[in-house]
Amino acid sequence: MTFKDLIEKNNCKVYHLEPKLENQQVVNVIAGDLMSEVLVEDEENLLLITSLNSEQVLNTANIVDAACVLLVNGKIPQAPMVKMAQNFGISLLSTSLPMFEACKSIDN
Amino acid sequence: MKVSDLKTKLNYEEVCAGDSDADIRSGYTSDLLSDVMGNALDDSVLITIQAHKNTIAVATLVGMAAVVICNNREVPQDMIDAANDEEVAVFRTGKNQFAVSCEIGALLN
Amino acid sequence: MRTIPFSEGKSPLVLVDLIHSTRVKDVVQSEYCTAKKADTLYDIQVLMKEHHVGGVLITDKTGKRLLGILTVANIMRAFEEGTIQETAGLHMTKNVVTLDAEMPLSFAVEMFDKYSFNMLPVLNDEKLIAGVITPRDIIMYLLSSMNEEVAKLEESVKQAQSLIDKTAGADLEGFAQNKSRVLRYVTIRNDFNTAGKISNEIKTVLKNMGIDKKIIRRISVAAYELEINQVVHSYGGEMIFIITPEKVEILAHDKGPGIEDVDKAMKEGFSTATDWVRSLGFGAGMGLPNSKRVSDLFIINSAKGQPTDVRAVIFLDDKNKEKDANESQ
Repeated sequence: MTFKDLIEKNNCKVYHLEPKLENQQVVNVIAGDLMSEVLVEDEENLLLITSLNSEQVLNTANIVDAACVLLVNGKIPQAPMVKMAQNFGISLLSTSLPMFEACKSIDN
Repeated sequence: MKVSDLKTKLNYEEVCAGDSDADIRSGYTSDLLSDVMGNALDDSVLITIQAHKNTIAVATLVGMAAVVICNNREVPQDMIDAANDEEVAVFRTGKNQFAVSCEIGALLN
Repeated sequence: MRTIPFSEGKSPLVLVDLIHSTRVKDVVQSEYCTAKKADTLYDIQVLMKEHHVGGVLITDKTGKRLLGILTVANIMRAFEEGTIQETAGLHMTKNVVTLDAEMPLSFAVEMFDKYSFNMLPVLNDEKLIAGVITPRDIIMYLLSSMNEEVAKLEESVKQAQSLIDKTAGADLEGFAQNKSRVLRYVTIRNDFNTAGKISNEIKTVLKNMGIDKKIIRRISVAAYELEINQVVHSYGGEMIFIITPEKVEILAHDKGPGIEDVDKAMKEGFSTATDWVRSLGFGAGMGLPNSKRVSDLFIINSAKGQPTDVRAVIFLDDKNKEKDANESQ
């Protein structure tokens, strides 16, 4: 599935979207709330699914060159986070689904 | 699905058997125990990397039948003891939260 | 009232730290003059002259409980009024403004500003005399502490410089092309709002230098974990990045409180983090193992009550890795 499909299927709110991302396939996904676990990841172009709503999520995402952050449980990012996402060139989405359902939707 | 399916169908390592006949109707993936406490449903399986005895306390409070510890995190003895006391099943796998959520999600469908 | 010409946001961090961490008890002078209530003002005036002090504490029999204070102003008035042979008890100031030993030093500065005293008695927890403090004591203490701090800073800059000199000797060309840099940052205890900024800034610097993406990622991960560790676990510290054409070296020094069991801390899953830290997505006990995993060389020195020093080196290409490994053996 592409990031565009992901946004439509999960009814995502889009806070920042890199234009080049829309038609890319979602390949590497990591889901979790502990950022150190994310830092262990070696994959490129990650989609990071988390319920953690803090600037550290974007710091972490940038460190591992993640392509996109998907906030779950209807978390609304604060303005500084959106700004960081724009600066880092990381797409930032939010869905009202919990993490489990969000993961499931990508697999199917 | 049943708690025992986590072992028989998904090959997760059984750390504590719990009530193996209990029904699982959904999953909840989270590493933040406060989030689990507030949002998870009963009769669900908790997918997490938090291998800590507090995880069992939260699972019991919510009424979850099983916990799957991801990324092969070591399960400490006090967590095993708590799980046996509370009859919460604990499984372990080398897969990450995303992969486990997908697998369990597919079984539930 | 005037305020101290000093601000949280703008003053150098070492000074912010100094002002906040210094307490009245650090500056207090334990030598001071005392007299009893029955002593005459004349005796006290002699005492002041002999010891070159501007104030004498009037105490009870034990010499530890403060009953009042007499200053040069009281003595001058006594001469004018012809009461110089009367007792201290009659003329001392009874409502004495005092300082608690545990108060931050900034309180003392404000007190001297507010009242025109040139000496204030300091009391301990049990309300007994711990000593006295004068504006001069404060000035001397701050000057010598600032000297120490600046000396430390100069030393760390020198160390960093000598490290580059050592590592860069082999490649002067790299320097000429401006490929080598030293960057120094300070981390602040529990400052989660800015944690991560250093690592992301370093990442941008490395990107602009055209370093391989995968290597940048390893350097950033090591830097980020070490940065978060300083913010979460230490009293604050500094991070120095030495970037040469061959390698990137991260020197992370903090001010303590040190790691009790370094071997344990290097194990995955071991953490002393609080729930608060965990709620921010850290404290999973992966920090140090993670930074070691991505580093080619990783040395940590720490002990309980000591600062923690970490040196993490990541080579920019594999050839250098072998060379340096041989050298360090």
